[in-house]
Amino acid sequence: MTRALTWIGLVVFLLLILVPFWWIASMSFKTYEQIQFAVSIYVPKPFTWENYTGLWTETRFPLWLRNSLVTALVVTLITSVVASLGGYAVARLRFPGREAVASLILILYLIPPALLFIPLYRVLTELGATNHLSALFLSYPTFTVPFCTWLLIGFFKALPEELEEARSSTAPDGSPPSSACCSRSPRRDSSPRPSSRSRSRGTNSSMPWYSFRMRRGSRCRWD
Amino acid sequence: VRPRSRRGIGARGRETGTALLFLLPLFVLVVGLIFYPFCRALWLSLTDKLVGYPERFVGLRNYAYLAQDDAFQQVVRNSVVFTVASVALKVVTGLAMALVLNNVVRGRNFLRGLFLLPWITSTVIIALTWRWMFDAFPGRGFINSFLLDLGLLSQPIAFMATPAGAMAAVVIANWWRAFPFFGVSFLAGMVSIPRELYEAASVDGAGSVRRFWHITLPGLKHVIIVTTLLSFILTINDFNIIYVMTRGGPGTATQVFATYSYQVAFGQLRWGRGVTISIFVVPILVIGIVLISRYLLRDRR
Repeated sequence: MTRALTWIGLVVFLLLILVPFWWIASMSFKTYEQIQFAVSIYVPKPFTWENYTGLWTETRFPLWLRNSLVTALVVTLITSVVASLGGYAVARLRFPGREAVASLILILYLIPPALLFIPLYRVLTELGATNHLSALFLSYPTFTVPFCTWLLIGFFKALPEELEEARSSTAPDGSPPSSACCSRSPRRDSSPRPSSRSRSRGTNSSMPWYSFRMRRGSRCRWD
Repeated sequence: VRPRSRRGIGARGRETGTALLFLLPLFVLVVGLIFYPFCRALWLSLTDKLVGYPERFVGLRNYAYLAQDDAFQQVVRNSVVFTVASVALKVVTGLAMALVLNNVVRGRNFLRGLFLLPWITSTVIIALTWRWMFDAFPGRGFINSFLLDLGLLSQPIAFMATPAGAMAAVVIANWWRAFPFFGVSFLAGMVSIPRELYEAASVDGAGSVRRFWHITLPGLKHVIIVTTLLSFILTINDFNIIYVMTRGGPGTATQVFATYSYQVAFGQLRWGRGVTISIFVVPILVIGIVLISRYLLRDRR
């Protein structure tokens, strides 16, 4: 009974997820006439690459692709530096107002881009950054940075603290935590020891946010 | 390993210094690109700023105007319908997806990755895909051609041309993009429910339906609340899907806060009023954020 339901559910979900992808992909291999006259609706026949070659040779697609790549690279770079430093500080260092900073980052993540786009546009105009890729370098971090900082706080908290302590205590004078942060590159799988701060307490509802780091992290690239 | 508490006052002070240094780039970015524009938004909402003219302070006139504006009331209703319908669908489908995946033994990780495809694909591409799926012309619209071929329709339906059809289309596109995220979150919650609970319930003679109601759902309560709140905030502010699929049309049938704000600000060039529209979302946002931080930050400690 459960088995049968699982199979049915699996097929339904697979169709639900794959059909739209297959539809859009098959469209890309159809000719204009084939779409216009509704010939062979479900399968691209005749099969053509002309949309792909046309995109590459007849439009400025190579430029658009370059713009996307440059923007992605620059924004990723800015975001990684800012978010990892900030995330480390909130997760590991003790300073007054730490909890407040953590809440602030969550709030910033939830501020809708719709609220910011008008004033941000004005600020960018005043900076003379409109009509240039740098407008994107400056506006994307408004949502990538809070989000990635929030993820990295979780990540740093989950790392066993002993790794860092061991590193600091081997340094001549118990060097400042900054050296531990910058010089070590712990692999998660090599450190199975539980620590007081790692998240292993009972049922942990924040686990999803942590374990789908990769998937949620994709917002940083795409959205 | 030295316990932290044995470090002296000097080390503590040094740590604060390091923390400030590490937080500096974040601070600069947040103040310059989020906090300052946000304050500008608040100021703009109190002016009658039109593009090309200097702004004049008008007090709360923008707010008063919107409060009695029929189009804006329609926008509020649309946003509520859009958000509630799509979040409710996401919760139900997400639960179903998690239950299915939880019963799959082999290839679960592969399927989980595959099911996440909509979530990692660019929103604009998904919006375009669904615009075509709902197209009235059978050569482009999958739904119409499929229903015609099944014989359920005698002639194609122009979904996007009717208010209800267009709303259904944007709700479905938004739901389709985000339900895998719900499914995977719920699955992670299900995996962390202790197996002994199910075994004990089986011994006591509870069937699978009762086990779901009395063990699975209570165990997932927390994940469901946090996921729903987060998704509620992200959905009520959704711009991409509606803008690409309908531009708020037909008429104002699918106009929501973000698209209406954009249309007023960049279409009619009334920046003051445009900003005010998005500021109306702030109270909802504040309630959502307070609830989320109560749940999420409590875990973090």
